[in-house]
Amino acid sequence: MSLLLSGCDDQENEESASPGSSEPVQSDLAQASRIADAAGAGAIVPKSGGDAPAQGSGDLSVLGSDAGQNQQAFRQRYGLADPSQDQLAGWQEYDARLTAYSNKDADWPYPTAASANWMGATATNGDPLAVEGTTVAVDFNRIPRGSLIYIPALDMYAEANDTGATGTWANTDAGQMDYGANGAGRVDVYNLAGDRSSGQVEQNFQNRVGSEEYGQIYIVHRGPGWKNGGN
Amino acid sequence: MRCRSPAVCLLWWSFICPVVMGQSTETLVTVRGLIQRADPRATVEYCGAVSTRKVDYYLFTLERKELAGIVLVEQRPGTDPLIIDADTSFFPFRGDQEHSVEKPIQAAIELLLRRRNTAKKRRPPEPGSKEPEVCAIGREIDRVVYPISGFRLGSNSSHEILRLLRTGPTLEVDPKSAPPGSIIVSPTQFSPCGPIYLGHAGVVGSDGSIYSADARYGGARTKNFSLTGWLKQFSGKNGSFAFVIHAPSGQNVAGR
Repeated sequence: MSLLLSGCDDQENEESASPGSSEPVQSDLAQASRIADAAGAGAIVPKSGGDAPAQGSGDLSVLGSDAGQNQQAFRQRYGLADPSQDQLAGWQEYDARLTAYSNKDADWPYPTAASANWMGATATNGDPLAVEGTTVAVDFNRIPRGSLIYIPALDMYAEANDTGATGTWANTDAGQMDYGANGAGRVDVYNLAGDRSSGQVEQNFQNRVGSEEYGQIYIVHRGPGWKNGGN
Repeated sequence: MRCRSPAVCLLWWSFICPVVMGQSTETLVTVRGLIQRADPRATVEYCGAVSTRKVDYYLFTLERKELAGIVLVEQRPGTDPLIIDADTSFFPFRGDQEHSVEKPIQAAIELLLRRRNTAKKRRPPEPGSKEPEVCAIGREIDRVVYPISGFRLGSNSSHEILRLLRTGPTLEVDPKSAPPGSIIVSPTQFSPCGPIYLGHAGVVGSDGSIYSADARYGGARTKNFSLTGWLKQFSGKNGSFAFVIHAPSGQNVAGR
């Protein structure tokens, strides 16, 4: 046979149960207990990720000083609790690129196709105000305007009532996972900068969600119907 | 340099002259598309191809969250490419006719994976690590289980792990009520045209969580799943099986 190769991109004891027995005996369980203890020793316990998001931390201060309070108020108003495994399994999960924008960005305020936010607050030009802790800007072609989403990396529910440089994102992210077959596009999380510069906000955010920014989001409800009990 | 066999000569030659390979870019795109459709949410990496006179084989790795695996695609002239094997590891190679490839192909696959891993590693490999591996599910179970029970899997293949557990000194238990210390395994499943459902294996910890190798952390043992979460993710597509390892003869119940 000739081959061509091409390169790449870059003992059981008396006490033990007999075969067919359905229950482990005491010595098996004692050994299993030691194995269970050893399994956890030295293991990595991620803050988030896996199938179980870090729940109930409530710390969204990276998004601005009132972000945590806003998230709590948002949850109370719409009856949102930390999602159970059953809920997560029932929601649509998408790949997304988590990025940050803030009121210190050079293009702020920027006229957008934003829709009313959950507080009903508006800017002088009629655009709704972004609310730190609950507002995200998304590509409305990927996530319908007004949708309710859940971001496990932040343990945060958010309403997709703002939109960003959708066309630019689609071009620059083409080929990346957020614009892949299961991609929700960019999820641009609003931050109130406070004393921080635009760059510091982005750095703080990146430190929080991970240097690669890529993660998962769940669309809890498509469109704004959840505000009227449509969830 | 003297070659010990014609196959080795050709392998060596191919490193020098990859441009003369028969696979076209178009074919590679088609094959890659097959893999991406088979697991749309996975990151697909092309590792290389092996050609014989009649068949081209394409090797890919897949990564999705904590999961990692290998896929082998067969392309015969005039036919659509087909996935002929997919698992968390191909080692040891399966003996069944459906998934087996000839020895020289196996050697070439191992070589491609070694080369891929060497290129990726920033640090020297850990002692005892198997260089062609892309997944460490068996290694991490062995690190926990072997020092206590003397039972060793010695494979990172989800299918081989299931086979070894079924034929080893174990008791199969209901995965829904697997006691702490059980080993749980969900074997990889795939169809020739997709989909691919990568498998996984881990140890049920004292808190009921499952500790398993995580590809995102270089295969380190990680607490990623509750037992319920595992069953939700794997039972439908892969199937889940749990085993308690029998205590060795004469072992004191209270421990050594």
